[in-house]
Amino acid sequence: MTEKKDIVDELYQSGLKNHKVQTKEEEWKAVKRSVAYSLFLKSGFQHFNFVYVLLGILAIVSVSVLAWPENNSARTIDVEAESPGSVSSQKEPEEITEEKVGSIIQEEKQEKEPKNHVEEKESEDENAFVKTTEAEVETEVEQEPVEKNTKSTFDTIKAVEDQNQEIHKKEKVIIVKQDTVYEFDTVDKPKWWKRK
Amino acid sequence: MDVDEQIIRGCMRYKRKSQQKLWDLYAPLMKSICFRYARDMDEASDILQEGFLKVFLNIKKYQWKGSFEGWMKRVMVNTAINYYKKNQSNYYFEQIDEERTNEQEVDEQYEEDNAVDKMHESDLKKDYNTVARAGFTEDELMAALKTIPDHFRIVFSMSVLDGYKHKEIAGMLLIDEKTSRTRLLRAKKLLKNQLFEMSIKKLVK
Repeated sequence: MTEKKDIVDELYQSGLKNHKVQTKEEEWKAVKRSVAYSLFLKSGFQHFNFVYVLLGILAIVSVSVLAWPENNSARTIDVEAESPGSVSSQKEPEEITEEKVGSIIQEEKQEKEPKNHVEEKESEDENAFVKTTEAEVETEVEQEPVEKNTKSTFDTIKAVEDQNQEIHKKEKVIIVKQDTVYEFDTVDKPKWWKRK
Repeated sequence: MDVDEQIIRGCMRYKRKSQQKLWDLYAPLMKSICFRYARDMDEASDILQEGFLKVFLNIKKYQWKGSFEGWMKRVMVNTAINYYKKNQSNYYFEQIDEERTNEQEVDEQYEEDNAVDKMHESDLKKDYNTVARAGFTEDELMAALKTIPDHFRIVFSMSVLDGYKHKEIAGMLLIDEKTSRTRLLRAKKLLKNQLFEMSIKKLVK
């Protein structure tokens, strides 16, 4: 089945053969803009490959890691400052001189092993330190009546108070060390703790 | 190397000047093609811009087989068809029974048309003469084309003016081949009537 060629076909084929419609300058500008934009996107995506994405992620991660110790130490200091029982909140770190710190550290070195053990625990967690030392004191208090049954209740309480004073002394030393280290080298503080 | 080839090669390197030359050379002709498929000049302008964007971005796909103008025309027609399909819901779509037309119906329709032509051959000859004497301009022909429904006009443009076969038209418009034939017949019928009316008015003046 074929379509016969009629007047309409002839008219339109001959009449619109060279038909042209004038274009406007704005139309060309719009095309130019679209082409430039498309080419920019095209070239952009060609170069923006996986390596750049990976480098970007790496950069973000490294910045986060570098920023972390500072935030961590700041957080630790804030916790110390906010805790009501801490020595640092009672006494200003500026009042303690380096000579005092030196002598205290020397004294501390001469102390016995269990005390160092307590310090290590304290360095991990301040609250844990308090609990541990209290537990140790209690243990010692419990042990004392077994060893010296002759001691009176008053003596026992006094002994406990003495122990508490010693603990406070130790706590002070540790906090002082913390503050001292923080004062001179903030970033290395966690390393110092680990080394200790 | 002729001018066209230089321009094309420049466009392949995304040279702005070559692109502008290509635009100056082909934009009016391409806009005419777009206008045949569009409902108005604004739509034609949109199709033209989209079509030229495709040409500039995909010019490397041109294989140097056949004329470049032909390749460009094809791109424009495809862009226009896609535009039509995308905005089909906005187009006026006459409710006709053509979608359920089977081959027999198409044949009947065609025979009917032939019978009508034979019966009123003398009258139709008069009509043809009237239409031919009117001497329509390009704009008038285009105006007559705009009076018929979009789906008829598109098939008519593709078949008569751009030389597509019914199989190709059916494939591009996602319609049945028979539907394409029916649309073309009806488009021609409507155009004949429209042109006759226009020629009468023109000759009376």
